[in-house]
Amino acid sequence: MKSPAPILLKGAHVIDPAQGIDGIEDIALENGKIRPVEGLPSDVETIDVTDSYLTPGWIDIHVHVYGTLGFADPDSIGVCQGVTSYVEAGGPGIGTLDEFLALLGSGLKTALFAGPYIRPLGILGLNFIESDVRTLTNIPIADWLDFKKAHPGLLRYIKVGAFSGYGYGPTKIGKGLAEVLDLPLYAHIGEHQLQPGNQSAYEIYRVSEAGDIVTHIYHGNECGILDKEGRILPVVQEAKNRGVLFDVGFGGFNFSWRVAERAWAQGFFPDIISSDLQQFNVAGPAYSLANVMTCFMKLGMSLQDAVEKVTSAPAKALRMTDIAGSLKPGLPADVTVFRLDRGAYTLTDTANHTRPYDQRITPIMAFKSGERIDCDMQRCQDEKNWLIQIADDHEPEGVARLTTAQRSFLGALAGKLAPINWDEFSVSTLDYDKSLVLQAAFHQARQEQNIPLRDALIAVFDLFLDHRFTMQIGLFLLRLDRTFALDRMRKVASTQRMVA
Amino acid sequence: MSGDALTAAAHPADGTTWQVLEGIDPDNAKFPALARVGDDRILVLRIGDGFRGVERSCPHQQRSLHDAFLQGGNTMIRCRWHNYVFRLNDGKAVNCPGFKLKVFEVKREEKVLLARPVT
Repeated sequence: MKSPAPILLKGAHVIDPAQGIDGIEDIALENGKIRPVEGLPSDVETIDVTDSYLTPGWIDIHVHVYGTLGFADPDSIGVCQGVTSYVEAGGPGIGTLDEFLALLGSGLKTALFAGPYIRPLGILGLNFIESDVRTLTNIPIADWLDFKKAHPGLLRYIKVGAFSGYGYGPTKIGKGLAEVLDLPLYAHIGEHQLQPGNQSAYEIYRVSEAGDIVTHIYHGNECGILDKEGRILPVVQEAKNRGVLFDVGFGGFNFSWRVAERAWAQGFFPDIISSDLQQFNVAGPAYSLANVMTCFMKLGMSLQDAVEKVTSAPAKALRMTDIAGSLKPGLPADVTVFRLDRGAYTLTDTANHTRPYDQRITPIMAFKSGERIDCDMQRCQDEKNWLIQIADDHEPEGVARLTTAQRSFLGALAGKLAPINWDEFSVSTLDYDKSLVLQAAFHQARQEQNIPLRDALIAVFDLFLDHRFTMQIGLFLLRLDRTFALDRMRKVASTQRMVA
Repeated sequence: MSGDALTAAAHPADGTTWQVLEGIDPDNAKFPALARVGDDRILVLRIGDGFRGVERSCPHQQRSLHDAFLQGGNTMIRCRWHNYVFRLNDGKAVNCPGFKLKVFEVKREEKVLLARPVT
């Protein structure tokens, strides 16, 4: 629990790049904020963190806790790994930000911000039609403006993918939307192995302005930051020179030792370190933000610079220096404590190439707004956390928790879905428009039943999942076998009637 | 395995022929072992006291599954490259809808292994 009483963290090596602090210092917390050490009562609660490093709470600007790439236990890749703030990178769009907020707007210890995708439904992740420009459907500018105004501080950037098709239009639409909303453009230049010949990343380098952010910069596929001879492309260097920020975004495909080493040798360094943690890389090779930081120390980055790139640098980039990124008195008491372990470690990139290293950053404790959390780097590895599975051969335990209102809603939902036909999709045939139809049916049933959005979403997830993941409801319904889904909804609804 | 999980496996269509896997000594071969079933190049996995066959490459990025992990109490296989997970009983994708892995029943008869595709 958050302690209103002061706490003294004593004896750690403090690194706070925003204040130029790099040495043994004591840090004090009180009422959820950093406070001066001077004036503490003599009997203040003291935690000895000697032989550890202590920094501002880490900020990971690129994670996936919502949507098809997310986790059942979002804090497992947040405060449990020393990350006190993170940004959901593209999971929701303007058409699903309400679902995102209903599910994750409260209840997490980690501070969650949103970097929504320009597509109204957000990232699809289910197959490789992300680049289909038709899935952008409409870009409702007024809705975006209204949402941003209604939720100050939630949106931190607008995400767009450098995908091919229809020229560079999608890139420019994303840049335009970011400008309208006065947010940085966050441009994904990865996954190019799926799109041979796609040159869109080059357009990203051209249209990005100072403060915009390019992510996945060390990917080893086509259309990266290097030319065929391994030199930094002039268009990339020009972008860097004019203030465009370059972010790691380790990901599942997008960190290559070969590219990173060549870039490093030419003095091309990242401005921000982020993990892109998701279901498909948490069990390796990404593992944690700490592991990605360690990779950069292997490349030659100092510990101090690695800390800067997960504290003051992302805070500045996301315009959040008033709430995170430093240990200045008065700021929220977000703190990460870690060890620098010595041993024989192997660091693996997303092409399964390895490098040996003799150090490893190991988070041991975090404070979020003054609340202490002891780190557990393995909690995220539980397969229940990252392996989303439909419980098609049994009813999940959550069914027993469904309220009467939720059961009635599921019956009504079955009624709304009954006239709609959908097939289990294959890799090449995701019916995007059908997911919108299913989403609309869900909302219609919810409104008619007058049930809160969160209760309605949870009713569906608990009906089909042993472990509650949070994803776009239209996409979730689309992945269910139609007959099976309707039968189970009706059965649960009828059980209520029998009980009643 | 967790033989239990495979007992419930989808059954191949009637008439599918069992094929002897040449050159694999069930007692001494190193698993996963390479084999062919018809035109399919497969990997034979040892799972507990039993065996199962899968196509050699993950349908996601065609990476080899020779060093894949077993998951979910040995009922699923997980590609080590991007954690795409497939059920061993029917090959259905678990966390990556739309993908499907070809899987094969494999049984032992005395000193030989026999396989046939699960359809």
